[in-house]
Amino acid sequence: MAKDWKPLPHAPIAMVFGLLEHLRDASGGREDLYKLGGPLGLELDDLLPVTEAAKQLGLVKIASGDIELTAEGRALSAAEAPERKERLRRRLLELPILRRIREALQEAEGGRVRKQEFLKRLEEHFSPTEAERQLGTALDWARYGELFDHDPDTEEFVLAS
Amino acid sequence: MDATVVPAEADRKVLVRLDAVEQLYDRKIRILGPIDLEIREGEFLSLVGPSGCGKSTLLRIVAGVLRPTRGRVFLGDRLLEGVNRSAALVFQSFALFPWLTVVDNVALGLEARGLGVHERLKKAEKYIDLAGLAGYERAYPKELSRGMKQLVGVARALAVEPELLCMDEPFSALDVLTARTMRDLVLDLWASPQVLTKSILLVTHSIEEAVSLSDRVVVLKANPGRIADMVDLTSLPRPRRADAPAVREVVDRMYTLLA
Repeated sequence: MAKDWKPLPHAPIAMVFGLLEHLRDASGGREDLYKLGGPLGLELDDLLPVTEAAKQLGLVKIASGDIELTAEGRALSAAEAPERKERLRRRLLELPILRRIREALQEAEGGRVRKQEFLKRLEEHFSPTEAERQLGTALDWARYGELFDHDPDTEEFVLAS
Repeated sequence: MDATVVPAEADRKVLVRLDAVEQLYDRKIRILGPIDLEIREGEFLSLVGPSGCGKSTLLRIVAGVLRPTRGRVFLGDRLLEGVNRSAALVFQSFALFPWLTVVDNVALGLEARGLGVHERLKKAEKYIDLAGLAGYERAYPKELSRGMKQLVGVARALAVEPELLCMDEPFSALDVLTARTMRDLVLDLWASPQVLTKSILLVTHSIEEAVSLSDRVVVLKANPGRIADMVDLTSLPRPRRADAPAVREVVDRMYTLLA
């Protein structure tokens, strides 16, 4: 698979923030990975997308069974709401799928592109079901970062103003 | 044990007062009460206890959506009859309209309060922003994670600018990490000068949650539901870490009381 379409883990943003807060309380901003499972009551299917999301966003490092906040992860979790959003927005733009959609919208007339176009591109790399999920997660994160939105009336993605 | 007035807060205005409130089943089996309880202006009050202790029933009585079998409810010095218009509710189940966008879900309660279209949207936008939902205005509930759905519920309740926000197990359908984010956010909203609602009534079955958030915690026992203790935590600074000795001590005490 082309590196440019690195799949997004399907994790809600609010859960990623919860992970950062949890690590901020842990001594040295570091925790044994297994402690996020059993003791915190998170199943692997819930936990792994969140740790992967935080990793892709450059907010945590994972090594030899430990998960640890990066400097950016620490700064982001300590920031007040507007700054936190701005920091995350910059991190989100580092993710290939989000960046590519955003760039396509910037180049398009009126900042609009049909959702179907992106789905077609993603289906070159993912199954139809997964392509749809990838786009759903991309949209969810993009809305948080106010990067782009979806217009249900026209089935278009729209650049956020 | 009777409800006792906490001296440090005794001079605050009383928003809601329950006077010997009782709930009977089939007019003979007592399931709750008699309960005397005051909710004061500006306080974060939690009701905590096991299933069957009547905590959700109490919240519904305060909100005026359930009429107690016996006893009276006062808003200030006025007797409450019917729905409590100075309170807004947040449910565990989110209770959003699936065919409405986020902004329309939030604006919905404002229509019932007789506001014009422009005013409704302005207010909805304000509380969407404060709840950290900017960017999601046009999303539909099915596109949102559970945490975001609950935020919409909170924004909708706050948008009508009630004196009292009543939350019934708002975080119990969420995973621990999302719940943690939501708890921090609710505290931020409560402390924000832009949010006009200054009193919160929270129902929870988590002692840790009640202790981490509240000014006062009412501990309830079951069969029949009654007040076992009322704990003043105003002197405990926030944020409260679960492993802080003072927090551990209060939590232990409450477990012991209920066990």
